[in-house]
Amino acid sequence: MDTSDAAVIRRVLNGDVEAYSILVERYFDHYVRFAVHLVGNREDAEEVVQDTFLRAYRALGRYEERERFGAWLLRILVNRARTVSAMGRRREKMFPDQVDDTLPEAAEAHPAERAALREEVARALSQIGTDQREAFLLHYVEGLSYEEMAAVTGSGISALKMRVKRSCERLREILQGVNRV
Amino acid sequence: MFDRVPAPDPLASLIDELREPVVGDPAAKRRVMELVRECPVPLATVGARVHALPTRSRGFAAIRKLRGERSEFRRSATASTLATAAGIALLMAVGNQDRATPRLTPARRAVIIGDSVASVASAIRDTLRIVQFILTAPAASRVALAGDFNGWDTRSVPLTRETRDGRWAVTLALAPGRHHYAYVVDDTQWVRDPVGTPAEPNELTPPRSVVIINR
Repeated sequence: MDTSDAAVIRRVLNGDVEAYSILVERYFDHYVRFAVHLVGNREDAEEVVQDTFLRAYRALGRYEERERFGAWLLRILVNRARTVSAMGRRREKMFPDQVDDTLPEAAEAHPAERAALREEVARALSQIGTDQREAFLLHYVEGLSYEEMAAVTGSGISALKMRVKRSCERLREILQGVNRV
Repeated sequence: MFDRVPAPDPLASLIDELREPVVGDPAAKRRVMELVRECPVPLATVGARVHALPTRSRGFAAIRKLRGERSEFRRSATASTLATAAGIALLMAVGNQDRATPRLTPARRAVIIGDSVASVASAIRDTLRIVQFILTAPAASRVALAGDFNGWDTRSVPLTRETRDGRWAVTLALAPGRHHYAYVVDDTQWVRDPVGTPAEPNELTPPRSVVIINR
């Protein structure tokens, strides 16, 4: 049986709702990882991904096969993550002592060294701007080309290249600062 | 999904850590499906409907049927295509060996071997190009093609072993444009086309090639 994204979507559009679980299984974990790094905590990330899948399902009729489904899904995810991040920033301003940071908590079960690395990674990412973080993750972690990033984010290629460059510079500064301590 | 390529320090360890797999909460996945079941089945718009007939090509129902049965790589109805696999001369060129994958012997790049235009009256924009992808991998048990045209699915486009010396090939109908692709050998090894054009240079991008299909 053809299990490509396009074939699965066809099944869903033809009424096989359960086939959508194939796409959920295929992309959920991967995009939770992306969302965790983007929004900074696991709870919001899973909510964003859940919401993304639901919105994608409702809009599935408008999906065009010439576009990679994963990229289409990622575009929805990025938009949702931006909204959540913006809400998080407002929350942070209102309740600075209640900022949720579950990445270090999630790492508690790991050896101390690993937990420290994760904490360092989360801290470094949190210190760069949302746009830069988004561009960095899409390019270096998700492996998207600048053309693909432009399609996902709606930003121009030149702007994206600049964000990636600046994010690298800033992250290097942050990481070298940590290593010197 | 992709091979990892070392990044310049000090970002390398950060990127490696960011690429570590994360396991989503199974309950969250179940919740997605619970919510989905409560929604009405989405209706395909004309642009996305699999068997919708392009409005500009009403005279070619048989061809559309052929395309619907055979092609996974349809374009939307608004830019709908006509596809027939016309037997056209095969263009091949022996290439160089991929140094990064010593198991692989010289292969041939993806080549455009013909057009699918079924009628002189068809608009040029309605053309699909027939592209053959070839990889020589004698030691491989399985080879598949993954690309942006199939959602990077590692199973939907298997190559067929054509010769005893390990030449694998598959022929696809692709829309004109720029397509990224890679071969997946034995389900695990991502291999850039040894003689194809490498995708945009980047020290961290996965091994991908790019084929540009002109109209």
